[in-house]
Amino acid sequence: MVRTPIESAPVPPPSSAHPGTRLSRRAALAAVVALAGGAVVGCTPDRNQRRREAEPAPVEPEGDPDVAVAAEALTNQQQMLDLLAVTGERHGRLAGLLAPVVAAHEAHAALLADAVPEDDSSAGSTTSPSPSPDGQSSPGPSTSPSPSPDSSEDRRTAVPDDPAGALARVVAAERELTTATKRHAFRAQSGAFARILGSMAAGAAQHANVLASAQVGKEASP
Amino acid sequence: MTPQEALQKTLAGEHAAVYLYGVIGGRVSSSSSAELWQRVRDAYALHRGRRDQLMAMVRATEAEPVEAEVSYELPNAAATPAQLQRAALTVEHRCAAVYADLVGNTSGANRQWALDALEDSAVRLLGFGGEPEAFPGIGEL
Repeated sequence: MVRTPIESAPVPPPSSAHPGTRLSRRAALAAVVALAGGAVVGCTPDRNQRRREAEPAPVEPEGDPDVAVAAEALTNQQQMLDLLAVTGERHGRLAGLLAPVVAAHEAHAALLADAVPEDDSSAGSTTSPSPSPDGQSSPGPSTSPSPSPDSSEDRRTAVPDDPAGALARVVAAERELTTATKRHAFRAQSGAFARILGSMAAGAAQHANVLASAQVGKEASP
Repeated sequence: MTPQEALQKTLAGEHAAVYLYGVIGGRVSSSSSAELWQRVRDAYALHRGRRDQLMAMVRATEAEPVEAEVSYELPNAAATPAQLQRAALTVEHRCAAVYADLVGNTSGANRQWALDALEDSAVRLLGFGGEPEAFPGIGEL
């Protein structure tokens, strides 16, 4: 094979990456919501992968399994937002550090909320650990070491007294959310939806990393 | 895009990343920019490993892996430490986008591989001065 020098890398810049599946936010949601039509499916997690990957995934006769995935993912995002809110309330000096994290999870939750029909929005609130394709339980935020007291007052008092401890709790929750969201991405039948979930997971990992390296003591000291 | 095409596209991106990190690493001073040098060196080793894994993954689909080009254009002049760091950041951003696409076009073990690579890339680019994003690897969101 004769190879010639090229003038540019074959990896396209993000702005032009993958034009065939470029998605507007609304199109991404439509891909999820309209999944029952089978328009964007084709990546069903399946042991018989090679044979099945070229075929459309089976259309679920009742309910869209990806809507259930979206509902679970939405609940996880809301729990993360709750934790961030009570942590920010308890430790005001962490608020600035947590603000971009809150913004990212609000963006995730907004996207997922649009993908979950009103009737299904409660489905995720019952989150039992989700079965993964290998039959193991999904370590979602429900397995978080942090308790989930009922009242907001209780939740505030559950936040560690020291800012560093409170931040460590957020970091741990972000890491758990990363794992849980990757499992959701693995389960998603829609490739477009899996791509979005995988990106959300990567975003949570970024925030965990940034928060873990934050110098709370130095930054927050008067 | 078929899963095989997505794997080949990712492999092509990995060939580029290995080349570019190699060039960038050769220009970073190990003494005056020791931290950047180490980060680039780590990235180079990691992407070489990924390239080899992808070649095996492509072969598993009974296809011949795409070959590397002879050379690839650097994202910028890559002369000063700041330019070199930005070049590395650009390379990693491109990889994240390719991994995200791979997530969307594969299933099973290949999708899991892509999810792990996307997470790693999103975190790795922070070390090159990148900022956290709501949707790493997805430029249109």
